[in-house]
Amino acid sequence: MQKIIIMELNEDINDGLLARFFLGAESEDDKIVLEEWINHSPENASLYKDIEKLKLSLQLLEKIEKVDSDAGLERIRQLIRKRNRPVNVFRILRNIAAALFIPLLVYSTFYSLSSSKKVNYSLLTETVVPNGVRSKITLPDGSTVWLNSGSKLQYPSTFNEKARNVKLTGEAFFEVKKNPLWPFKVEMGKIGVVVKGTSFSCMAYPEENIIETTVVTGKVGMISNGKTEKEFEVLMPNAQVTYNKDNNTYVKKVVDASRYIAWRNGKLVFNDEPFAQVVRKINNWFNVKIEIQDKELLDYKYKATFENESLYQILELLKMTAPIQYRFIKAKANKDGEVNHDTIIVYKRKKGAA
Amino acid sequence: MIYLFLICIFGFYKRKGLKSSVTTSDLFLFDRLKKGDDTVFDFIFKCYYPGLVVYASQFVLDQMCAEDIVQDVFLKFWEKSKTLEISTNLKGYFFLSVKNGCLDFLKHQKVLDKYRLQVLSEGDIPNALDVDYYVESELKNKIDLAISKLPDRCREIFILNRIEHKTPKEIAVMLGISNRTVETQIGKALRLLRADLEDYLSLGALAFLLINK
Repeated sequence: MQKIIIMELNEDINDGLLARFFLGAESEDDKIVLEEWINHSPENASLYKDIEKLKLSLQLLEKIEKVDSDAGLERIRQLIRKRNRPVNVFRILRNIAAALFIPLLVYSTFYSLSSSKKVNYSLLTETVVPNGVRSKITLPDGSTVWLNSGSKLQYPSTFNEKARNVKLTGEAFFEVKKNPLWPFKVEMGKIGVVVKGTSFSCMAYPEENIIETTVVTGKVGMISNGKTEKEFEVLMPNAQVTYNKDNNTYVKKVVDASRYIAWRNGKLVFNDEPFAQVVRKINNWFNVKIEIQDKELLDYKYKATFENESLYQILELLKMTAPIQYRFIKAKANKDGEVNHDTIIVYKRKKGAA
Repeated sequence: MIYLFLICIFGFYKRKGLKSSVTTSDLFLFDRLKKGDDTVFDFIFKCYYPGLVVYASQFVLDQMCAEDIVQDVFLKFWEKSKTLEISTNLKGYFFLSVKNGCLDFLKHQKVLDKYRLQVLSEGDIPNALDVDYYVESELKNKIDLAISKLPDRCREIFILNRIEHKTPKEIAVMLGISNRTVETQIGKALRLLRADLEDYLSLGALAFLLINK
């Protein structure tokens, strides 16, 4: 051992050892030789240092080349557009309406309750939650409703006739105040839900062919809205009914209900669902318009949870797990200075292309 | 666009020696930017963004956070671009802004990172995080040129290893030579590259290696 070291020191270091150090593949013996060699002369130390720098430079360069600057630029453009958006009178009015909504509701409830009880009318109120926004409202009976993006809830400004009927388009989570005498009914087109005091989630988007009900606590009755209302299923916590609008059939299964109400806490969750539904959710959530170009993509199923990720990050992650590619088409302002959606075209990635 | 590019390349070469003063290319870019030329912003972005992200990730150790910080810097730059008067060159401006962004970010982090912050902000480590390592075009051009000057056999083996990530064993099998020959050739390549890149390698210390450890 000793002999070998002395030989190496005298002869200058062997190229193979230098290569092994550079590749990070040096053996224990190599390390001993290397250390002796470095300490032998300042020239050796300087060569060693330079090789280390070279190694680092190459590593950094590789990292730098991996950064996707196109995607970064797209994100910046998006941010810039957001700041540049022209003042939209409609938007301001909508914000004012939203701000006034609850006080007016309280006032009108109070007013209708305190005024003559003989008058039996009720005004239909409608809460619309646009895309990109989620909202929480309190119904006249004290029940709470969380509305997901792109949803609409219709309900009377006062509940009477011992019934609490509401009508839902879109997705909502209900926490119903207990009242065994006044059943609470959610109408969603062909079917509906009757409860007395439970919490559950409903999803009924017109563009989708399913209506989904998931129970979180308590008991939920499923009803069909024919001429005669018929209860066809009673659900317990974590049960879920998916009703198919096309062929009037339904599937009942047990799920983890928390995954279906996570949107309430700002999480975007895909529960093994088809791409079409994923796209609909992203469109509503971010107020964008994704178009699927290749129909075969519709067969892909996704399971994922996103919390604070941006649209771009989500698209990138989807891209990693399926052979898709996408491109942005910038939103353009029309004559009135109103900007419509950004459009994202999703298409199948060709084999071999990155 | 090509004209712009040439101006910038010219700028990069000229920059050596006048590290913190405004370069002609920067002035030219600024002039165009103020006149509302969007392609200039895109150009500057593509020049600096990748390097800045890697630079930032040396501080915050997280690619996503690094990207957010750098994007924030560019957004501010865009907002100010119409009014901004630069007293330093663009490169200096970006790397300093990103560094400050990273330090701010770390300040809001848990105690765990406080130590890191201290090291980085007080860190009078000479030439710490030398920005010259991070401007892709400069670094890449220099190294590519040096690699292209290697003798044929040497270059082939070095490229197989560095670019295609083949191990010496795999290369040996591929080329029908011994493992030892492959290692010797890589070692030879290293010596030649070192000689060719002498100026560049003598630039900064390797302070950020210390930070990573």
